[in-house]
Amino acid sequence: MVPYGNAKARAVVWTFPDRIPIHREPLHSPRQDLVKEYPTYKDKPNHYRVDTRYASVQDEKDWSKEFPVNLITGRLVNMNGAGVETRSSKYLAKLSPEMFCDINPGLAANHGIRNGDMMWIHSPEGSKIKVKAHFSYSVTEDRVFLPMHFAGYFQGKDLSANYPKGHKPYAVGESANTVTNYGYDIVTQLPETKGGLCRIEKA
Amino acid sequence: MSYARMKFYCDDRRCIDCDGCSVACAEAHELPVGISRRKVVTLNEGVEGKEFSTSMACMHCTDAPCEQVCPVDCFYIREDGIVLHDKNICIGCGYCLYACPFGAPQFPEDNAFGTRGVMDKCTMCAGGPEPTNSAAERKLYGQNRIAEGKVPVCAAMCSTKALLVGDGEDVSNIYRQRVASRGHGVQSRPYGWSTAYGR
Repeated sequence: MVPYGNAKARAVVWTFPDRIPIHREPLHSPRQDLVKEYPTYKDKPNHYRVDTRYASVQDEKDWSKEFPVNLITGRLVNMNGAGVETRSSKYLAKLSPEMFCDINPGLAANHGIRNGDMMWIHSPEGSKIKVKAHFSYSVTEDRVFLPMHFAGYFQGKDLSANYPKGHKPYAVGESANTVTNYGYDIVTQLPETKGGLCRIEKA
Repeated sequence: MSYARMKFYCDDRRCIDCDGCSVACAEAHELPVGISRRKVVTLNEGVEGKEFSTSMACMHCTDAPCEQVCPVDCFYIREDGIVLHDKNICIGCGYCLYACPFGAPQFPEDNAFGTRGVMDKCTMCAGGPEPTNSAAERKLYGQNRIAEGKVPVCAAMCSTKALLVGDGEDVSNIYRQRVASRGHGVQSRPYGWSTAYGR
């Protein structure tokens, strides 16, 4: 790292494991060479009373053999947080009425998935979600994108009847968090939702 | 002497596909969910240098095709060029939808058999033939902001000032100034602060 420019350290935090931020590969990394160069932390027992695994997950195996596709999650412009408010607004729900997965047409072709087909996304945790494929060149061929605002379905099963009477949002769908991978922040214990792997197949 | 002709123009170099215009429109006029008076369209999504978005509604054509094909003559064009129609005359035949190059006319679907109601479209927030700002006008056509001297709600809401509305000459002057200061064509550099708030 160069000590100037946009990436310069703004502060030294002497109570953090990394006194200034350094790159560490996610536990489920598509790049074994980078894992060797930028390994994660040692396992941390009693991390806010939870035994939290880091290196033991990363070194367990080459996760990318079984789960070759990068999984990223993010926001939609018309939605907010878990979407409870925005999915309950008819005009906002209309803009994204169902859960989907942005997938590059090249990657989709390798799996026989067409635009608008349903597809399964499997995570290393053993969970899966069933979502609609949405062709987009805004994702490269090595990754898929999931919006993080949906709920109401779980692993292909419609659970929206469990909403209190009269409170079911206009838009319901699989939650992206069902397939995000194991991993927690070393300081705050926040879950890892942005750097994960998955396996996709046509539903 | 030239008279004002009201025109929409969406600057696709500025539109960020936020759908603020379409949601503002639906909310302001309390439209049914099936009616989209204004839509944001994105072409070449994710293709570097070729992606652009634009906001589409009734373009209030000078020589409006909808007005020409209407079998019951429910359309009328105001002196300032805003194309409006009378919902009490409209028979919901859908001819205007086939004639319109922009897909502006909207038809509510009333029931399971999909029978169509009378046509609804962007009024440029100018209401309809009913008395201005009356309850009847509000119910049939939504707000009449033009009568109150306000900008149509979509353009008023546009966060990047991509959507322009007003006298065609003024709109064209603003766009000409933008093109002169940044060039014309497909996106060649990322949209940034200086584009939005610079000259």
